[in-house]
Amino acid sequence: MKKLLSFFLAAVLMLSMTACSGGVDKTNAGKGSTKKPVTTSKSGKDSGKFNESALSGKKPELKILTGYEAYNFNEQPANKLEEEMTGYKVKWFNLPQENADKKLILDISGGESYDLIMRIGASSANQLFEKNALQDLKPLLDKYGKNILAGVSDMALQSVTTEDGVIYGIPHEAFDGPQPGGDPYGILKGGIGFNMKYMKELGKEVPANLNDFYNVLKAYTDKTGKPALTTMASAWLNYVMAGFGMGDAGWYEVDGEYLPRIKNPAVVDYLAYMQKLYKEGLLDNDMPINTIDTAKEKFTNGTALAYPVMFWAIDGIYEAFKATGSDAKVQVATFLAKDANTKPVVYLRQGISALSCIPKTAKNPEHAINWFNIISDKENFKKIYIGEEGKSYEIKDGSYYPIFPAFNDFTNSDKFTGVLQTDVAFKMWQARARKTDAMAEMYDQMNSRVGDYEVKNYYESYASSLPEVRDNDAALGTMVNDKLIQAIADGGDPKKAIDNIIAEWDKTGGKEYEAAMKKWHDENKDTMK
Amino acid sequence: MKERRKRKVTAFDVINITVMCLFGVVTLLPVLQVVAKAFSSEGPVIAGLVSFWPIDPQIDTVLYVLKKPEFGGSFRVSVIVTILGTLIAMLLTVSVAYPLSKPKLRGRKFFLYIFVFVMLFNAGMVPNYLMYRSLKLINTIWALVFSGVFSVFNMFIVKNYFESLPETVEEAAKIDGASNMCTLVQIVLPMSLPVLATVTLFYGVGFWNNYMSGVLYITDASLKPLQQYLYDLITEAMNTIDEAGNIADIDSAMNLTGESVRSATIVVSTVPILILYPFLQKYFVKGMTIGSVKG
Repeated sequence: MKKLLSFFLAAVLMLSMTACSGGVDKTNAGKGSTKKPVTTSKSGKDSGKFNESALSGKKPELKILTGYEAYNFNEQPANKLEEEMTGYKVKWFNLPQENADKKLILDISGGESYDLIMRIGASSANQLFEKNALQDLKPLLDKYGKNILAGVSDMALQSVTTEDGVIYGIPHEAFDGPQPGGDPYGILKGGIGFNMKYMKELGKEVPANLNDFYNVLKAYTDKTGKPALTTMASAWLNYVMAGFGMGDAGWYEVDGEYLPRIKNPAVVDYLAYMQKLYKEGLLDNDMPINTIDTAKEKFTNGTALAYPVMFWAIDGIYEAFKATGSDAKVQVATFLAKDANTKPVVYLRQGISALSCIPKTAKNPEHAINWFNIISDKENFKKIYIGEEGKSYEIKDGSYYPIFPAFNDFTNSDKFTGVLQTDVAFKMWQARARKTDAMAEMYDQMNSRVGDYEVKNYYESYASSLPEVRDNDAALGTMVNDKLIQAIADGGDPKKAIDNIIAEWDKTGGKEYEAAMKKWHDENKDTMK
Repeated sequence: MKERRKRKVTAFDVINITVMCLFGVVTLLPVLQVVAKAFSSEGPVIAGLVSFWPIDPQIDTVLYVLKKPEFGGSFRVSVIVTILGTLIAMLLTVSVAYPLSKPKLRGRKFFLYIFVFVMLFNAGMVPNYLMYRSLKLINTIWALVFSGVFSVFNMFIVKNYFESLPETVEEAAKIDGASNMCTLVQIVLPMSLPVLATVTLFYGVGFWNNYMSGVLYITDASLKPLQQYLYDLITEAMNTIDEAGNIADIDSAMNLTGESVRSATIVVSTVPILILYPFLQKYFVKGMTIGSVKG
């Protein structure tokens, strides 16, 4: 009997071990398949039956899932502020940085009951919706979302509304600048930075157009034998592209036709220009393998004359100059003009940067929308984002400036905000741009001649929820970038190189992508100014 | 006693040793550079001036990392998971390896086949995730512990070692009236310290370096293990740039962690396992070979 019992116990133990083993660590997220959640109809009409008295009684603790950030949301001052402001306690959860999409789908399809999924990419939200995992927000927004609806543009709302009227996400619109026609001051955030010590030695001024830019670079390389311009591995140097009528936008209306950047006829001239810089050694020949850090090293240790600088990087650049014993200052050529007689162009994104959604597994959808609505009130948004006037920020000549040390509490507050009209939010954002004296000086320097620019708004990110965009955008973007870098380095016939890339584009999903974008453009072009 | 034969040093030996030494040094250089960056000021790091020795040395960056609540939290999670996980893993491994090392155990072959089977085939990510969910282990420290709590490979190493021990010692203990448990604890385990130390190190390093479990089972930032924290920190710049190299998220781009802070975080998080290693190293090589087939 004792032997039998020992055998039985040993068997149970070993079987349990075999169940526990199996090398979970060896699996990788890329291999996962997903399982559909137990949900009802996709139309979402079933989800309109919300409890009338849902907001009465004690406010529940909300579970909110959001994207990766380097900090713990639960410990941020903004979280505490929101708790006091809304009366809701929030427990934040974060997706990992790697394979965030797969983890999101795994969690939601596994039945995890988050009350809100905040600030995820439009394509992730779209995937969840297609998997029938999201609630229709329309009845909730109609009932509890007055501030939310006021803070979102019609175009943004339309982009997350299906043909049968289901709203599956709250769009967070990018506030890279004012709404069309608004004051453009502040939209320029980067440019090609020049080491002014070297410029003085060369006797040159900061260039404003393509010819002057070439001449300055050539003068430096001829004098020193070193590459004048260095940058990370990227085919699209938007500050140079501006001289060819292009920029950050991925799509352009050319002669009435809506075309992807690679099919813009100006790309051939742009490639020829970049090839010339590369061939003559003016552009760092290590560009195809440069990282941001290595390119910055070459600029700050005195090898290169010029490097694309964002205004917030300036403190680090000056520290690095100091370490090399240089007291050089940086001046920036923002977007270059074609020639001295042409107005420089800058493309300004109007569109969606992220979406917030409510999964069907949410236990407190009404409370989640109510919470979101409270933080989307204009005054509350401001309090969360930059604090109180006179305490953490001040307004001088209509511009926002931070007050330290109080403003330190708002370093990470941007991810806690709701939605607000973009031009209002853009003004507030400028307090962040002036966090240090050097940053403020650089930001204002970049924008000093913003009035000379022709601002062109682009709207393509409102289309980011389209399945054709989701399926093709990233892969095609990477393909075009890689092949264009190769073409810059190869120095072959630019027209032929672009034709080859276009052939690859058409072959690998570009045609479907284009057709969808053209359809979307035709339907919306009247609202895009 | 055999007389030690003097061997002539050939040119091959000299080249061999030189190349191996150079190889060793080359593998050490990246580590030295990370350490040097951790103790240098931000300026020289950005300018790429730091090679293998700190420039403008300071310890503020390391202190900043140590004081960061996110780092402290992840560090604490990894320490707890490593200690708890290794203890449970050793208990389970020995409990399975010992009976399986006895040829007279009924059904031994059957169980061995099962273990070999799961070594080669496993359920995969999604079923494991669903199992953890149904057991309500998601977002608990146990998800990190159980995901690496038993390794068939380690069990076989321990089993082979137990098999190599002289049967007569155990028989003597039995004659003196020792029970199975008493024989295992008082006779077998003290004789097996090399293999136990080795496998403890395997488990310890495995738990410490565990990254995937955090990605799969944890979304609560206060339970994020150190390796996930590190990976996220090192690659966070990717978050802010889109395929065309445009800045997609300006606010995040403005708050990116500097290179010297990243280096300091790597250095600080490597220290515990570096401290543990020398204490167990003397058993390490011995234990690796001791369970293998004898000639």
